Amino acid sequence: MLKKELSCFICRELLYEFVINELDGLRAERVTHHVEGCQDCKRELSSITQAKKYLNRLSNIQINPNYCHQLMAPSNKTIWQKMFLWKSWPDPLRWTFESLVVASVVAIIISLFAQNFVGSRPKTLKPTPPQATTVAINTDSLPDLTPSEFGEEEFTDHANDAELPHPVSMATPLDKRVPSPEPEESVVTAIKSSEEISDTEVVSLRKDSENLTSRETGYLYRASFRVTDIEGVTNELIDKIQQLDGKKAGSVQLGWRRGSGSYFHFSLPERNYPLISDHLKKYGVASVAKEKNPRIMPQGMIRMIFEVEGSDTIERGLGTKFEPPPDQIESPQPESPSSEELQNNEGAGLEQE
Amino acid sequence: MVTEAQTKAVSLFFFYAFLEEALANSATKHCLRQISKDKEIRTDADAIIYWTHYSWKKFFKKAKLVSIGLERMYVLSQDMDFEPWKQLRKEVSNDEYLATIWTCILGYHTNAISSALNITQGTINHRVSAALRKLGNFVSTGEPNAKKRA
Repeated sequence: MLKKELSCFICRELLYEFVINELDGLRAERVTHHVEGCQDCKRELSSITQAKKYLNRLSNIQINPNYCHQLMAPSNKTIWQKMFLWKSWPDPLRWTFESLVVASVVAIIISLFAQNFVGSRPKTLKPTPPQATTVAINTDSLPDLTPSEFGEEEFTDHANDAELPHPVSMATPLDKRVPSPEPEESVVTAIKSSEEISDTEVVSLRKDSENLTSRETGYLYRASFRVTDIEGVTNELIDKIQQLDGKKAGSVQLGWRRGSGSYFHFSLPERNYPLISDHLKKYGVASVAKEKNPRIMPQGMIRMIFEVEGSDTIERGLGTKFEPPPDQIESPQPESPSSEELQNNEGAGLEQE
Repeated sequence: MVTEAQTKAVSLFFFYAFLEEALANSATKHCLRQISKDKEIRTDADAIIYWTHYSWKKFFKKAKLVSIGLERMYVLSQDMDFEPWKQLRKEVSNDEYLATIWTCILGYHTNAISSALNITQGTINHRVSAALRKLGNFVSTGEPNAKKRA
């Protein structure tokens, strides 16, 4: 029976098992036979044998008994102590925790810095006391708040525009005040919707409305009535208003005459309101309407508008209301009243007087 | 519960794996902790081979291959020469190195290593054979230089 010769490659692979006596009989015999005839494989076998002896010596190392007991001793650390053993944490967990700590510290520093930066800026949300409003408003220089019924052309009859103070100059005392937190555009829009405020006053009120919040609002006292003697009543009212320390609140003089009526726009000490109210009863005015108005008067002062119409306009058939300029007519003019209606109205007017 | 035999085996493994006292100590404690928490049913050999391999993978990157303070933890004889072993560590791959420790130093059979690591027995034998051939060359260069330790 021909025995297959082992190759050197196969022999080398089997040498370790041959050394540790793991080979079966047949293979061991073949390895032995090959090694006897092959110097390289004999050398390999010698190396493995010597290495095995060397490692056997190394395996005789003993562990220090104290160290062994130390390893076997149960840990006295509590769970919390073990949690804070930083080096024993897995690397990904440790890195994640470190990154979170760094990120939180950076976030805290940024937030503190932002707060300090915001806090150092001048505060804009503090409302100014009412007295500041009192100082700012110059009633003599404010443009006339005439009703829209007079039409825009009426404003040309007022004091020269050059005399009207520039809104910025008016705001000289206002400069010391804190600017309003509300956007100026919204305030302007709200003010423009009022019938009584001109465009020029929008700018002034923009400075003046620093204290204008949704909680604060001014009031306007308004009365409209008809008299037969427009001239006499006008002069009488002028004297009475001046007697009660009233002053014009717009650019037109007290009792401004235009067409068929006279117009009074003035400010009055609030304490004298009952007196002027009683005086109006003389002309048949039972009560004075109080309307909300964005313009806020100084404390202790009120603003009033009287619209006095002469009863001779009724006779001339000019209607009972002030006629707006033609370009402002939005609806057809009412028909002139009949003679019977005029007589009835005249009687009513006389009764009022 | 870890036995004394397991403790010695694990400690010896990491001693030869790292030849560095601090690292060997840390790795030993880590491995023993894993063995104590292991809930799978394994033989002693399987448990030691599996968890030493597991812990070695976590710590081997920190190894500096420098012998540092070995006397405190281990009892070393005067004629012990570690130079061939250090040389072997540089020449062979990690798989051959570990297989040599398990088989020739700790004395585990290749079957145990094969079942613990799910590797064929032939592969284990090949790795060990290759490592021993190289180690034999380092050993057979001359008489071993016995370094006397004070």
